[in-house]
Amino acid sequence: MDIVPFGSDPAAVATEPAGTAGGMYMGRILIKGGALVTMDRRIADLPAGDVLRSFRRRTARK
Amino acid sequence: MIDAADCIVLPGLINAHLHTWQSALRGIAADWTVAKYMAAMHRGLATLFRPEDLYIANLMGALNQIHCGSTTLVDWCHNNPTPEHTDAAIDGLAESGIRAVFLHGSPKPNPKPGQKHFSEIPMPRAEIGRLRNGRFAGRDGLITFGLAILGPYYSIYEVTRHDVELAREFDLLASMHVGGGVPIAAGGFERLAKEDLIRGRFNVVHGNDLSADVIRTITDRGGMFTVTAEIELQMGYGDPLTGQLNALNAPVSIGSDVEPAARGDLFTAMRVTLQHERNRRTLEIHAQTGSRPEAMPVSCRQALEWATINGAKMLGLDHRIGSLAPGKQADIILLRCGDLNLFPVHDPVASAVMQAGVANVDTVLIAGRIVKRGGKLLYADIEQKKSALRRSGERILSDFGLEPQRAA
Repeated sequence: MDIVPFGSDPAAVATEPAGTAGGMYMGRILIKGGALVTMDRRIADLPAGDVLRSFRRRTARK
Repeated sequence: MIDAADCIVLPGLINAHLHTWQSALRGIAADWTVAKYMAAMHRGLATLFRPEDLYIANLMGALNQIHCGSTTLVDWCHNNPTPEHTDAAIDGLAESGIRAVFLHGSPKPNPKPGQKHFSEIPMPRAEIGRLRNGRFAGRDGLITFGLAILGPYYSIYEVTRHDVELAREFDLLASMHVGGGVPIAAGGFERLAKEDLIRGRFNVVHGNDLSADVIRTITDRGGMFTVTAEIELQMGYGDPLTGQLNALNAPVSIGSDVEPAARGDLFTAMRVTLQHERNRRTLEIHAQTGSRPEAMPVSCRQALEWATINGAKMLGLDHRIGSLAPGKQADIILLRCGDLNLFPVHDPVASAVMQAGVANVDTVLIAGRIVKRGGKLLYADIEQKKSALRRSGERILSDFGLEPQRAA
């Protein structure tokens, strides 16, 4: 399971095995909209919503 | 893609201290003192648990943590009389889908004739080895392992030293309670420091009545503290250590602790801890200067740090969890901004800490897997498991001689 589509069937998601080694990393998930409170001082918050993939660019600039 | 429109997006909360095995006994200790708790819970009720009680309590307790927005749970399990109990407790955590650190601890029954008092019994090395080299052989699973040791307050010094060294031998976190009475090994922390046995991976829970020198001794050597303010206030442990730790720039992590006495969610824990510390510090400043402070001594953002990144630091997992950043695991929660108790949201941090509650937790992801969505847990057999939890609690209470007053 690389990416969980937000609109996927909840029942299907519920029957998948519990995550074990590895899991999914932040950079592979897109978050659209919302006020992101990152709790990461390098990044700061993203109050108007953003995409987590952009973190890499933001971090690189700092 | 996660559509988080009109939501506050937070890193998953980290509950740094919960005795999940007590989940079937919610409410029974709401009016208990610490003396009653030690007698009735540890010397009584705990001895009546069967492996299946550990399983259902841990499963349902962990599911409730997910429901409440906690994606990581420190399960401080001090009711492991047999390996079967331990395996059942871990099975419950695993089935829930939560990220957890299972801390293996010793029960505290009255000794039977010919038995040693629990304070004289070291952690069982063979059992710790079985777990560490068995299902906890890896370090990157959702559930990892540590030791819930008795420490100087609940064991003689030789047992404390043995258990700390055992944790080091297996490269595990050693966590211990401090408080609620007179220490069995007075001066135990000073001796541990003198013998160079406090070196990171060392967690003290409560610690309210430790001296400033001992607190500094522990933090200077990389030890970290966990505050469970609501329970500490109920049990009369003294002021939570929040302020002293802040003054030392030592990370404060928080937990909910004892669900038979108080709520299990971290929204409550954040607010109780924050407001207590604001009151304490304001009075302290007033006493020192004659004036009340012009700036708030502790911020909402600090409270959110206690419930997220600081819990990760305490666990040594801050490279994986605790904040939203590239490379970290996707442990994420979404709070609905449109709910009446949050709307309108002008400051997401303030809303999350001061207004939000369990009812606002819309979505929870753990390691990228959606485990709650639309305000509902995505666990299939919840009603069946609720019945099992109720039966477990009623059986234990009945065997103890307490008749449950069924409300629902």
